[in-house]
Amino acid sequence: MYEQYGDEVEFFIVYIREAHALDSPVPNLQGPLLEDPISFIERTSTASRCTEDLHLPMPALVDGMDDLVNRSYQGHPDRLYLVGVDGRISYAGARGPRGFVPADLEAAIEVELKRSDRPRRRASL
Amino acid sequence: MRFPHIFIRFTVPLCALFIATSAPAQVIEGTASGVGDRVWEILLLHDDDSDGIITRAEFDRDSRAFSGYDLNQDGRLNRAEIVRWASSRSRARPGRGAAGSPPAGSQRGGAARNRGQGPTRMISALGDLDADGIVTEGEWNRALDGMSAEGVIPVDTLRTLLAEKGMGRMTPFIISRWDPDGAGFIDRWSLGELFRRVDADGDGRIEVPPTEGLARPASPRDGADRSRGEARLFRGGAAPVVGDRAPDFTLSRSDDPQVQVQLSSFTGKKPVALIFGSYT
Repeated sequence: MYEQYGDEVEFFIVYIREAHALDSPVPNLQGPLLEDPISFIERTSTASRCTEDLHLPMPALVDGMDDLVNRSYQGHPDRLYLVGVDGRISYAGARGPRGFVPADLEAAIEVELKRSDRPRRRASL
Repeated sequence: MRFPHIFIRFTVPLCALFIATSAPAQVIEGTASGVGDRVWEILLLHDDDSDGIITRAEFDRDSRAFSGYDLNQDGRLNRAEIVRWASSRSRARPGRGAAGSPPAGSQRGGAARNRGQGPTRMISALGDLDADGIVTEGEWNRALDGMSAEGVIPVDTLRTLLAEKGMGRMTPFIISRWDPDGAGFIDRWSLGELFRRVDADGDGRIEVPPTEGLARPASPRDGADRSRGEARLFRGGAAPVVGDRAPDFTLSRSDDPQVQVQLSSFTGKKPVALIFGSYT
């Protein structure tokens, strides 16, 4: 999706609080074993490790330790949103993992691009 | 047309970094002091200067977890505090152990005293509506009614109320106990039930404990600045829906922390797809 739409849509990972840190109530012992980052620098380096290890092409933005953006968008544990060109929410996925459906995001991107396409084409005529 | 798969939850098996030294999440059966001792032994691994006290600096991990342990909020943990913490935690699990009363000797005082410093202080701070030094069950329920909507209380509301009383530091503890998955809401019923657990002698009244050393006067960090900033973005705990103005933010990139990206900078230019997640 990133390769296909990356020119027309900005993609950002918003790296938030760990979903299954070792020192959380729900540690995941099958996955990467991490204690929840306690400083911004730790979270930033964990985010870098994540994008490198998983070869994620889009840039990651690191949420502050106050989890402000996480809480504004209720993004925990994972979630997809599309912000339209007008600055309003075009697509708000349900909370993951059940609600984390990339196909829905792609459909929303198609709709959004068609919506904002018309003025662009008119301008180029 | 095919597109690259976006990983769910970014999870990939990896070899272990290091083993967590925090307390186990589940309660171990046994006497309250036995559980506390075992938790204390695990926590002692953090005791860098081997003085038998764990400071917040030594703990060096999630401050939410530390605040959960630190019942009297003095920034230090000792064995006695952990034993109290373990016993209050085991009582908080419904259906476990004896029918509500802890083993003798694991409380601070006699049966007439309130148990659980954190919950007692919260109830005292928020529940004494007529300011007579006593919180009755009716008062507590009326206080909860004032905070809740449709059976839940937004964490943000609690945070603001506690900050007004100078007890904003309790908030991480409350969140770790009652909203561990960060939904932003606390179930009103469970806070109502809390009254019965705190009310040790079951007389329907909780005495407000003396406040020296427990609460401190509200400081700017506690209340105004944080709640103003959060009110701008947080809007009472609901996630934004289609059509809402997207809450603006400015965050730095992980690959170059000097670079700041502001969401609203793309308005009028490009749509922005936001993928929330973490590695674990």
